[in-house]
Amino acid sequence: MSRHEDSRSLVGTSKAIVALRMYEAREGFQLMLFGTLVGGLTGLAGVLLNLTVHEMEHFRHGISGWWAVWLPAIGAILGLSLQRFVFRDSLSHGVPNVIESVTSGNGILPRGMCLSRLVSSALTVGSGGAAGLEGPIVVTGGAIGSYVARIFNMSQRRRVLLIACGTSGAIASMFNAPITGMIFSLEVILGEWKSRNLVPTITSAAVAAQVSRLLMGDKVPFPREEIVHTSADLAAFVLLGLVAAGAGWIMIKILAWSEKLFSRVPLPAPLVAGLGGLMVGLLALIVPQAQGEGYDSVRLYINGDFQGTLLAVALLIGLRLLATGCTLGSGGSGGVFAPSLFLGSAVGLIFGNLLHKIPLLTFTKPEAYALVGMASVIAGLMSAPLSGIFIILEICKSYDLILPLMLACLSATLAGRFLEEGSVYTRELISQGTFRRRGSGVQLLADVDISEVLSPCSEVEMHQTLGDFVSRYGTDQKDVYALVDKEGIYQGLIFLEDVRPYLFDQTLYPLITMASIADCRVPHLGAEATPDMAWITFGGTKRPALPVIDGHGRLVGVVRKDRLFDSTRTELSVHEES
Amino acid sequence: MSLDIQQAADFLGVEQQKIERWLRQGVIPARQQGGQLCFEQDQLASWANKINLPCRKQQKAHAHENPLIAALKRGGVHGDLVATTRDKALEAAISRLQLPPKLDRGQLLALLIEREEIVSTGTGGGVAIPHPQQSQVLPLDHSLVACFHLDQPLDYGALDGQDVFCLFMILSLEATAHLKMLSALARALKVPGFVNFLKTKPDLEALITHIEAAG
Repeated sequence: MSRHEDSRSLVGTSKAIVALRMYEAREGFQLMLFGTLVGGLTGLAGVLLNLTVHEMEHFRHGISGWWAVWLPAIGAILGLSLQRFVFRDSLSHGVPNVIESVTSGNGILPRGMCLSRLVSSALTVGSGGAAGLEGPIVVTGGAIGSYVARIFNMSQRRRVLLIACGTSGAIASMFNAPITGMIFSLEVILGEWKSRNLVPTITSAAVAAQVSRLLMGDKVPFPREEIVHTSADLAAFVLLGLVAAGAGWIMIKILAWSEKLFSRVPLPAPLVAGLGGLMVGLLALIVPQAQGEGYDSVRLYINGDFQGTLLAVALLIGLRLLATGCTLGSGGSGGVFAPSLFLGSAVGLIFGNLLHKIPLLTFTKPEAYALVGMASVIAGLMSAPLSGIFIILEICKSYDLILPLMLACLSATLAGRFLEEGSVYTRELISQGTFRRRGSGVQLLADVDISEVLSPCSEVEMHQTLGDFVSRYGTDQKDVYALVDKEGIYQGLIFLEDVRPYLFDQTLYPLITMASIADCRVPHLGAEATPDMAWITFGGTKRPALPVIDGHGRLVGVVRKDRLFDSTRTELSVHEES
Repeated sequence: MSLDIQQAADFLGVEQQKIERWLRQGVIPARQQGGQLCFEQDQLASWANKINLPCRKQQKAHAHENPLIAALKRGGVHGDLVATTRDKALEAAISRLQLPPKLDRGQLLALLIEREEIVSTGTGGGVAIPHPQQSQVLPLDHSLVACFHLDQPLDYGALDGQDVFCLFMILSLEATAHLKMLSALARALKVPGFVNFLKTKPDLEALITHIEAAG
């Protein structure tokens, strides 16, 4: 009996099935254990960041006068210096890097990232920088997950999963929002909703949230009272989603513009951040609420305790956008989360108040719009309706507004997608061309070595006539040949399908030189090319093979469509099962 | 610009059946206009680009007209070519042609001579078929075949040693067209009597009629 037949007789037995199931169960159990470990570590990280920032906030409130102006600058300089020089983390935007590491499949993040963003954002935001902490904690969590995976020598697939655990626990701990942690990881970081991703991310989120609750208590960051809404409100909330997405889009444009502006300053990076911090400090002299995360203002808005005018709110929106632009645009370490919450709540408050001016119709309290506005801006920016819904649900305990949340986050996401391609995190990757959707054929091929799909190719000299070619290769079985010149430099590919009509007409043998038959317009691949590039390049030609040319202009081999197909088919099957 | 299904299929370079399937599956952007299904060219182009599907306008082969004849009409028949050597004949021939200004005639001459140096294109019977080896090199707008009747036969270095009295110069845009015309011409030359017919220095009309008759 051949080996193939042997294995076939094994496959059907219950013993084999049980063996595979036991393997998978062991895998699942191990994932839970590691999820717990990562959850614990990220839980501690979240607590650490929270405590540090809030201690610094207390410190900050006790300072007045000129020290207060310089504080954000000092914090930014110190933070960025530590990040770059002590922890050697000089990437500018953290979350896109985490996503890229996950989608590319390799799951490796630098070790220093476990602490770099924690320290730098604590200093930047704690000293008054107008930014959020979600980006830094997500990067910290992802880096912790990756580090744990590398300590235990895990496979790529597991490393990626642990990064997702890390980001899940990070959000869960930082905001006391376990469901959001898991959903954020799946919706934004992993981008794939496979059931096997749920086990580790749920575990990690739960453990991290519990660690946070044990150490800091089970507090609701934004306590409020329940509000009743009507059906008429629902239509208004959909409109709010659109408005909020627009506001978020404007904020991102301001940030991008600010980044471009600050990049022209001819100073080392930490000093540029310091400059931004100084500007925030000056702004805070005039308007103290322009500093920091802005959560005090948010609490006022969503509780209906705000006593001022709408104009004041609008003014604060403008000033805080300016402050956030200064903090983040100058390279300061922080995320867009807190600025988005503020923007959303302020825009929502104004929107809700304006609604009341419409005669004949009654709408619910503006506080409700403030709250839903927050969720909408988040959803629109991250192109993540679920994360938007759940984060607000969990940090504001707002199930009474679940329907408005659902509708507004959805309309915000759709509006966001219309306004801009990709989320605030993936935009960078898409414009770089490095964004690959997980599980797609292209993404899987990126990891395959080119040698797996490369075929050798005989070389035919340019000046050979058809007659020479036939006598030399007449009994060959290949269908692709490479045309080369006297020095062996690649000129083009000869496809037998082009030659066939003339193969049997002997009068043409002396008349046709192989250079006439060759296709010199076949797109090339470089020696560094990977199969996914071949996949994409095949989109531009109907030819059955592509040449791979090295730096000296010589042919390394050809990538045949049929072999690429087989390779892709195999990879898709293998990865689907995993 | 609005396209119907057939035009959309042509635009994307796929069969109409594919478009119909994608419509059924709901993955291709389309709209209803007065009960008819139609596509917006800009939308299709953007969609095709996003999913890495090339938009290619299919080169519809003009099957009804023999490419050789079409090329001959563009190249024309030129009589009384005066020259004493092969290279001078080629040079004189090139100068009689109507070519796009950006085409470097010196380069063309060099390419023709290069080809002759490998194996003579004088395949026998007094006729030669000079052509550049690789078609895509020259900035041509259309393929052309030009027939030149030499004033005096000259030693071309032909394979059978005979003096050459007639040249058919083939300049084509791409390899497939080139080979088709080359083989069509070679086939015509094999027809008994054609070479003798050429000795009568026929003009364009007569030449075309004869080639069409040869099939």
